Amino acid sequence: MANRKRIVKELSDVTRSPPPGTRVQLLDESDVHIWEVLMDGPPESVYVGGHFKIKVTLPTDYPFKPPLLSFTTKIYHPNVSNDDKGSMCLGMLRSDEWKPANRISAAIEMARNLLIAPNADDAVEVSIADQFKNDRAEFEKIAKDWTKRYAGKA
Amino acid sequence: MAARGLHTVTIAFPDPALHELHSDDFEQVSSDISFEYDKRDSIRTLSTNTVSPGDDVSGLLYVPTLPPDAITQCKEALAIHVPDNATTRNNLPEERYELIALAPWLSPTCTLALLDAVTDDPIRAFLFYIPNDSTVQPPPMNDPSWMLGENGRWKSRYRFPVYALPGMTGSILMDQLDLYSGNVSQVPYGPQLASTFGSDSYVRLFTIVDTGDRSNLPSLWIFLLIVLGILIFVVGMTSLAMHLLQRRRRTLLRRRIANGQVDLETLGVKALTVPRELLDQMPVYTYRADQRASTQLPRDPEQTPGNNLLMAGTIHSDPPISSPTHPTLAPITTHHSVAYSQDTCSICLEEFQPGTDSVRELRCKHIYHPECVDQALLEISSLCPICKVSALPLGYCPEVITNAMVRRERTIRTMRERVAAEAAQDQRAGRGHVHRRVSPLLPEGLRAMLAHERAVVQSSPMPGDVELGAVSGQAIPPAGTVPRQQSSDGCPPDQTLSRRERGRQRVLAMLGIQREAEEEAIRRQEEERPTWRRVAGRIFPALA
Repeated sequence: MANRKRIVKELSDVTRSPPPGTRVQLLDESDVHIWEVLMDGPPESVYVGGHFKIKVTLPTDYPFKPPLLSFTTKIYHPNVSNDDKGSMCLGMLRSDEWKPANRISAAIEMARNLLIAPNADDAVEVSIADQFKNDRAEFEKIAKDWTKRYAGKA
Repeated sequence: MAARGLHTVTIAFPDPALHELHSDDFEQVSSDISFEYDKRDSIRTLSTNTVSPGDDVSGLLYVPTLPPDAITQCKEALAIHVPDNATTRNNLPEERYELIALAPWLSPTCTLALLDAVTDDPIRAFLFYIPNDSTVQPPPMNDPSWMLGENGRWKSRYRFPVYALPGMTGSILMDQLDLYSGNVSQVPYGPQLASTFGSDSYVRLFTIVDTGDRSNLPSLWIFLLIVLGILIFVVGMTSLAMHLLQRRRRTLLRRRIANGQVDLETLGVKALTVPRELLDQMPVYTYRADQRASTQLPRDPEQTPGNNLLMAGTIHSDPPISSPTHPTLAPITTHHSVAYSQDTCSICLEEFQPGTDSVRELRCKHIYHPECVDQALLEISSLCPICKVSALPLGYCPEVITNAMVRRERTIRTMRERVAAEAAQDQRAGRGHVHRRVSPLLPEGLRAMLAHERAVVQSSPMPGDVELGAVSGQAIPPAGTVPRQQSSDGCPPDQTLSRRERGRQRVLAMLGIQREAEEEAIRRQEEERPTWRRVAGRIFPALA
């Protein structure tokens, strides 16, 4: 079970020194394959003040397949699918670009950086991406509103 | 079927009782010296029992005789319409020649008596006529006059067909039957006929009922069969041609794979795994901190004291397998300085312990713990987890090359050629047309991939320098190979790749972005495909 050994190692590393503004824990202590990440909205982003929960699911053939990131907290973001899954799939999280050398902490950091700077060119929510590009003020207004409404509580 | 006409001729045949000859001696008497009568139309079919169009309904014409115990009125009624000498059964040979009966349509009782009277005769048809001078067609078969008082049930009771003639036709035939009933000498032109056919011959009337054209329908069937045959032939030839073409393409692809010009997995054509026997041939050795000391052969037993994994590998790989499709790895005689510059296994993220950890080295010189990488190579992908270069030997070809693989490889190749051409064009035009339109003919997925690829090509430092497979005609390393020059310095391979190589890999990575999703989609599509489409795909491989 190289797989489990690695996950435990990564978990202990990330718990010891989590990426800024995040906290990582297992959703269920008995299952190392599902992590829960609590991420504060980065101060330099429109999501400031929000507390987002991200579920990280590690596939059985991790680290050969990328982890799955999904926002369980509703968020208005071009790269997060606006459905009950809230999945985020771009960059290194794509199975073709994922390399086993990548760490989950890097994926979490990427998610955090996307909160600061959404990638409208590789969006899942095209309408949000359009708004982000063409009507930034309106986008920010809605994003802040959603943050207050859905991610207000810690 | 309905009778279309009636043809009555005079025939002469020898008396079978005298000559022991048989019915094939029938001879038609020339119409110049005998009776011949043709009636088209105006024949009404009352029942068609057992007769189909084209059937031969013919026989000697005669008038049935009521049995002696028949009702007197019927006998009298019949006598009114039938001349005294009209041909009856008695005027014909004993031989059971086929017969056609002719009688007037009388009262129901008498008509039924007539029908009953012929049931023992070898009768082919019964002709009735309403005794009048009418020349028009008798009333239709469901007319009350044909019901015989029992709602027409009589029609199904007799096994022969029944036809109705106009009254005039019936009278004419009846009068002729009167003439042709006796000896040859007594019939019209008797002496002449007697000299021709012999005085003991029979000269009688013979009637042929035209039951329609048999050849009409069959010819339609034959026509349809011919059309069907041509169709099957054309389909068969097309299918054959397509199969041959696909086979040729498969062979070509196999050859190109064997020559190392194509790497199916790197192209994203097919996910490959490493077969166990090839995995066992890949070098495993003990990790050493000292770079210069590491010049041993991977399977040197001295270098692997007490390493079970390595032992297992050694046992499995003996004897080495070599076949055209499974070229053996070249013996590893080079030093492992490149490999040793990696100090961590990227899969378990643990550092290699010099002297104790055994490592598996892939073709690209990346090393991993065997226990970390082997399972992945066997089950998930043959690509190196770090640099995505195939761990399979150059020219390794999977057993089965499918048409789908051929198609995919062709699509990707065409696409790359187009992208390269456009990129070159764009560059010549001073990158003025970055947003060239993608051909609208391309499927959505390919268009997206194409767009990605173009973006990469154009954003790389020297777009023209990016290697794009078959496009640049120079001797370029095929997809999946790693330039050799990198193994001299001490950096990990992925950092020493030439710019060209890196550009190429980015192209590949971009190209393969949706590979898995697509494969999944294709598989699902394959499963959901209706049976007829699957069959069509079998027959016409190009349609699949």
